[in-house]
Amino acid sequence: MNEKLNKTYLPMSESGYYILLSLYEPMHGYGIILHVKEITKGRIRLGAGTIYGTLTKFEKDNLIETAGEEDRRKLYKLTETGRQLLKQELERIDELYLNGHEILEGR
Amino acid sequence: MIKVFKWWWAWGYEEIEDWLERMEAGGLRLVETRFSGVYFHFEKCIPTKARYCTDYQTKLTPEYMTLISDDCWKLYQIGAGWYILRKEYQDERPNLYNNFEGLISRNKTLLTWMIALLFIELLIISTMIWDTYKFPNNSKLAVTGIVSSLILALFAFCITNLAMQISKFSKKE
Repeated sequence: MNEKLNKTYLPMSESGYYILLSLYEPMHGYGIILHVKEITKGRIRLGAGTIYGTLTKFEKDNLIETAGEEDRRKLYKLTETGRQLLKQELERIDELYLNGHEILEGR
Repeated sequence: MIKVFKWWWAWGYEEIEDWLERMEAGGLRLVETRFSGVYFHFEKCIPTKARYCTDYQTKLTPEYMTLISDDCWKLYQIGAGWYILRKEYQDERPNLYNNFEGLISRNKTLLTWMIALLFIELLIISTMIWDTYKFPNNSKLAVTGIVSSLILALFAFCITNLAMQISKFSKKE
């Protein structure tokens, strides 16, 4: 994994994490807004500007790539680099979760 | 049609966004802007809750247009890469950016432009000073000095404000 990418993206912002997670399956920009709203039960409502800027940056850094079109909307999906980065972030979150529970509930 | 002049700076975008929202809540909806977004043209309307957001895009891509249209934003062109977007709402006030990352990136782009323009301006000023030195003329010297100082002060003001806002947003992020 590219050290520069790790330094730039880890730890991830909540928006970045959910955008990458949504692109586990091919999806267009507005689909991501709806998907994130649904899986966070309305807690996170991503702005169109945030989505557009993040997708542009992710595509430039090869974390995502285009995966065709749907109703004239560009579809995106994770690249192998994006998948690896997401995995690393998930491991970090797991560590936070386990340590938190161990200290708060285990003593 | 009602025309209103209102000056605003790029870093004071919240003030203009809130003002447009208050205008529509008071029954005046934005129709268009003129002269790089300092003249606002309004039409009378039924008071409506509508969120206005400013945005800066170096290029309007089909992906951007589709995304904002899907998310029900209406686009108003200001000029020089600036846009105003409008979206009606009922309960939760929508945002174009839900974090500071996009706003930091926007300000960094503007800052890069300002610094590039400053260098061009410094070259022009250097040429003016050199000409004045080569062909001394008291009245020209005074004009050169005043114009150069004013331009440099304006650049310093803009660059400082943009840098301060980037720093403020970075701390919040």
